[in-house]
Amino acid sequence: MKEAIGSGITMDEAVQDALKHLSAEREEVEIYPLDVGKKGFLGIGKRPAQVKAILRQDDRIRTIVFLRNILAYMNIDTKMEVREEDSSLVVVLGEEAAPLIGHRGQTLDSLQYLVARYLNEDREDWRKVIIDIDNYRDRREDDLQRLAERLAEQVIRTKRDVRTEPLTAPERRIIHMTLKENTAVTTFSIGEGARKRVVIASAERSDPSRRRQPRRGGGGGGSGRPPRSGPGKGPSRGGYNSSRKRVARTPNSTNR
Amino acid sequence: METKTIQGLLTYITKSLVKNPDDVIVAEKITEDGILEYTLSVNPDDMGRIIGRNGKTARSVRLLVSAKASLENKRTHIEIAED
Repeated sequence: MKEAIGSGITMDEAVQDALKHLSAEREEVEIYPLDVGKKGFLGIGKRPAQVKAILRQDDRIRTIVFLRNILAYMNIDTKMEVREEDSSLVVVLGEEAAPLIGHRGQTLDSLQYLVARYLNEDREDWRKVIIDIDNYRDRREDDLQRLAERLAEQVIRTKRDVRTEPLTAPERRIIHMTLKENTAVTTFSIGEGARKRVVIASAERSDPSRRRQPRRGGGGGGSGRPPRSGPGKGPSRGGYNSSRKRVARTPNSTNR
Repeated sequence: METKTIQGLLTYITKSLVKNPDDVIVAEKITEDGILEYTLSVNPDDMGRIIGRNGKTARSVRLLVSAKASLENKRTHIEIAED
């Protein structure tokens, strides 16, 4: 239902009635008065006030209301800033919402995904939503940049490739971008889906273009496979996955 | 708004994502190990909407619900009913 008519003795009551029909909050609807009503005299000529409420299809308002309700269920009281940025909707929550960050931002990414699903349910064009909590995403970016630099130094020093732990696509991008200008190392992704990692390899040892092999089967998203180093443990798992020691842990920005 | 329970949160999120919110049913029971187990039923037409590509929506709902549960020192398990 996109609109409803509410009635009551006063205009206020009529608005509340209409909101109840739509199960909406006040800021989600546009109110059009239909009839201010009449008190009448001894019940003669009495008429209820009537309003029409139309659900606003405003992205900003729908996002705010959806998030505010989720926060209310969580008993989290925090400020919420919403702004438009490069056609994305950016929502920044305060530090009280930190329990929603989760392990390395997993819960925050889930929340962001659900808000985008909710917002984009009925449309063809996908409106991008970014949710941040108390600058978590900036802190994570800084951490990943520092990690990338440190790992690159390590690779140059030891001449041994390292791989990060599993990272999301935007996180992997930060690693790739940080080391793009660094000619001593080359970076590429390995693994599938949520298990994708970045490998940082010495550029000296082999030509990076020779590392990349044609994509196998579906998926893969353009990730190149690393060369087999030593006795590989199978066709899809190179030496990287069989050595746990070389996994570089990323800093955990959840707990400051 | 319904009460601010874990069940309430799960119900709210589910209803927000489906086309047929009136068909959403969330049943709660507690297992012997003290885990809160929820069984989620939606209209068959909405199964795809609640599971999502590669189960991404279902996974996101589970993570958010477990975030609320961990604030209350509880553990949850969500089952999506097949029909």
